[in-house]
Formats: sequence, structure tokens, C-alpha cells
Amino acid sequence: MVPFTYYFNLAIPDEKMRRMAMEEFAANGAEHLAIADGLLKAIAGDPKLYLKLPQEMHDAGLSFVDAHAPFGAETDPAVPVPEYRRQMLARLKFNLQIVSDFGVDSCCVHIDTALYPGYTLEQHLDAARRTLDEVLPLAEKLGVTICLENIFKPLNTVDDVLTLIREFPSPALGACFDAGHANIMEHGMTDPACIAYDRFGKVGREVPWEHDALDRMLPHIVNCHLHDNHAALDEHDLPGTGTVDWPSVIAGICKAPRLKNMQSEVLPGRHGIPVKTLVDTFRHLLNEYAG
Amino acid sequence: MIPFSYCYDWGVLDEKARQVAMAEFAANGAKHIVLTSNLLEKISGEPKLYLKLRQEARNAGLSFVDSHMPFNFETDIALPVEEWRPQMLARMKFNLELIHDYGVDTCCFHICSRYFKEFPMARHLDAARRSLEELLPVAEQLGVVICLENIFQPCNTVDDVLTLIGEFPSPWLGACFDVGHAHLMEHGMHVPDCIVPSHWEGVCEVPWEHDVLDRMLPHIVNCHLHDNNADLDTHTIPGLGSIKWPEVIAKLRTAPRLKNMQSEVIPLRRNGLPIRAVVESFNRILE
Repeated sequence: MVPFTYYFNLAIPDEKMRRMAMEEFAANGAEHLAIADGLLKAIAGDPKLYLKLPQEMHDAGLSFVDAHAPFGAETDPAVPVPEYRRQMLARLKFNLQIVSDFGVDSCCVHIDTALYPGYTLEQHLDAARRTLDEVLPLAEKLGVTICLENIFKPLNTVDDVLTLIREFPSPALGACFDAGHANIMEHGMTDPACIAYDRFGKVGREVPWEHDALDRMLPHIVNCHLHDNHAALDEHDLPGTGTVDWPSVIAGICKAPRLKNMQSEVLPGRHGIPVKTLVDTFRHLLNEYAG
Repeated sequence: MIPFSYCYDWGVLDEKARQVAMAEFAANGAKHIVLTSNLLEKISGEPKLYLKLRQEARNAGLSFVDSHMPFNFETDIALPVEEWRPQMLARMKFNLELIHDYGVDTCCFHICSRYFKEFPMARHLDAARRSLEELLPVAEQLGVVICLENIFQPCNTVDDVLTLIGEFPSPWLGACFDVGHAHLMEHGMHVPDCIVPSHWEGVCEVPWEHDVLDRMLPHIVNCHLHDNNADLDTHTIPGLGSIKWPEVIAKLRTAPRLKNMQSEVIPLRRNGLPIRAVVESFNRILE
């Protein structure tokens, strides 16, 4: 069984509160936490936090497994604006170094979060290719797999993810299967409020609804984001509160040949979910369906 | 004309206050501000601020000239603790990229902000050498000069600065002359309660210095201008301490490698100095 990790933003300025959050996870049986994008940003800006965190995690009996690179218009691999690319590349490389220093070997990266006006989708995708060209050698050297995530947005479809992975055959490039996002792209077409309509509509595109996302991504899945929704909004809620078919998802992911870890990407803060409920839910899910 | 740049306590300001302070500098005739260590830490951690800050400076009619690498034991080139060095080096390379991207071509480095008494001095300086070996090619590629600063602490003396510069003859390595620190090391021995001896306790006798500016002159690329009374590192405005400014400025202007000059007055360190007072004090001494 691969390690199971929890997404929780530990970028809490107060050390006692941060330690308490860690202790809470540990007291409920969690063993690993993911390095969230917010935490990576905090570490990048705070050298002291960089040195303190491993000890705090050790004291709580936890370790870091999996990571999420910061995402946004300034930090996505597909940034096509030449004057923004240098800092994006420097930032991505620095983040990979931090991830590796923390003993983590997988890092989810969004291909693109914000489309820049005046640039075509192909230009964005080309920019992502140039980024991978430059960053993959470092990822290989550090032993960190960059995992491209499927999202309900242009440039982040399963096709986009698989295209890039096929173009750059490398052990340092794989896929991050997001179960919630796949649910939206597979079942959202019947709900006019589905977020995918908005995201693709903004660029004048029909939504390229997907099917069999998990099966198609399976050979390349290295990590995953597990959270639930009703196929309309990106709720990041607890499994069982939405319409994701958890028995199939869990059983399916466990067959992925490159799988390194599994991650809860439920956002407890957004929904007021106690850590106990969160951990118990996933424990039950894995006991039942992980095989 | 050598550009003159101003340091400020940007770290305590929110976005609006930061913009007002930039406007205040511009209204008083300043043209350049420093990419301070605090700003570098902030833009390292906040990608949005990275793009915003540059625009804020442009909107105020200011540009960034000179920079200061974040300093502390986690981020000094002389860090002798091996397990902490990869992050230090990665962080510095990342910061050099950001500095270059902001159009800045000089960056002040502390050799050693925290002296680890469990390691000998030679071990610290050796660590600094290894760091420079790794950082100088990056600095060269980016066109940023690493400027080592004289400080009143072990491993940061003029001798240390000149030794390292002598060992790495490169246009991408130079000196940052800190006039306030030089004043402490040249005159502190006569001043009761001088801060300097406390920094050398348990290490060795204070190696008081003389002729600091003359000795550093051939290598000075940037400088930190601020005043004190040779007792505390007050970073106050010229005229409020005992530095002989006409001599310092006249000599500094003859430094063959000088790229810029910097006010390193820290206005909020004491009771708060108006930006106008800071700018006017430098206008006076630069005349």
C-alpha cells in the first residue's frame, strides 16, 4: 500500500498553532501531510521556516509525502509572456529543490491556471513545453516527479496532460489524477451551473467533456487528489458528500503502475471538517476499496 | 552620474502604505530604491507581489537600483553546517534570478551574520569560498555583481572581504563599503559601550581597523551610507553621528568600480525619520 497523505496548508504563522495542527493529524492516526502550495510559498519567503518545519513534523511523528507547486498566472509552466517566464522558471526550480530537500519525490503542477489575452492556446501549450524542457533535467537530478494535473479548464484536460507526458517520456514526468476534477468533466454536462462551462466559455470553446479519465491516465498516474463534489462546482468536500464513485476510483487508482502516494485534497477549512472526520473517512474508504 | 538609491523599512508596510512611501520618495526627488533583503524575502514567497512591486515602483516614477541578499545564519555564504547549505545555495541562486529580472546589477552579501562558535573561523571562511565557487558562475551568467560587505563581526572584517575578493578575481565579485560599520571598527575602541566587542566575545580580540575606505577602494562596487557615533549600529542620517562625510563622499567618488551609492539609513529603527529628512540629508552631503 502506498503512503496516504493529507493536503493541509501549514503556512500558519504562529508556531504553536502550526504544531497543534500537526498534532491533531497525528492524534487521529495520520502519518503524512502534503507540502501544500501555500506552505511552499511560505518556505520560499522564510528561511527560518525552512529549517524549523522538518523538526516540527518529526516531533509530531509525521513526515511530508507529496507536494503541490504554487499555481497562478505568475507561476504556471504555460506562462507565455516572455518577461514573466524567468521568475516562473526560477521559482519552479527553487520549489523543486525545497521539495527534494524535504524528502518528497512527487510534486503536482498545474499546466495553466490563467490564460493570457493575446496569446493562443497553442502558444500557452508551447510555453509549457519549453518549461518542461528546462525543468525536467533538474527534476530528474533531484528525483522528484512532476505530476501534471487534470483540471476542468482549457490546457488542463486529460488530453493536454497526456500529450505533454507522451512528448516528454521521463521518469520525472507523470500525471496527478484529480478525482473531483474528473467527476466534473465526466458528469457536469447536465448541470448548466457546471464550472467547466464557465472556464471553457471564457475562451469561446465548447467543453470537451471527458470519459474514462482514470483509465486513460492510469499508466501515468504518480499521485492523486481525492475529494468529492456534485459534478458542478469544485467543492473539495469529503468523500461521500458528492457523486464521485469512490469504490471504482479507489480500486482503479490502486492499479496504477507508477503510483507513489495517494492524497486527500479535501479542504477541511472550507467546509469546517474536523480532522478526525477527515482521517476516519479516508481510512474507511481505503479499508473498503483499496484491495 | 552614479545612481543614488534609498533603502527603506518596506517590511512593516501594507500595500497602500508602501505605495505612499514610494510616492513620498519620488516627491522628494529620489529616483531609485533598493531591492532590500526584506523585499526579496517577500517576493520570493509571493509571486503576485513579485509582479506588483515592480509596477508600483514604476507608477511612482522610481526604479530599483542595488539590492541586499537576505541575511541570517540560514542564508549566509559562510554557513558551515553542511545539511543547511543546499537550501542556502538554492535560495541565493533563486534570489539572484529575481534581482536580475528586476534589472538590478549589484547585490550586497553578508559573509557571515551568525558566527558558529563550535566551528573555527577557518571553517566559516572555507564555507564562504565553496559558496562563491558555486554562486559566481550564476552571478556572471546573470550579470549581477556579488558585493561582500564589511561588518563589525567575525568573518566580515575588511581583511576577510579583501581575502575572498583576492582569491576570486572576477568582475562579478566586489566590495560593498559600509561606512557606518567602518566607523565602528575604526573608532569604537575609544567609545564606551561600543557594540563591537560584544560580537567578538569568545572568539578573539577585536581586530580594530584603520583606513578601511582606502583599503577597500579599488574593489568598491556599491556602498551603504548611514551615520552613527561609533557606539551603536544606528543607521541614522548623515549629520546625526560622527562620520566625516565630506572626506568619505569625495573618496568614494574615486572608486574605479563604483556602480551605485545607497542610503542605508533605516528610518523606522529609532523614532522614525521623515523621508524628506533622509533625502535632504543626502542631497546635502552629495553636494
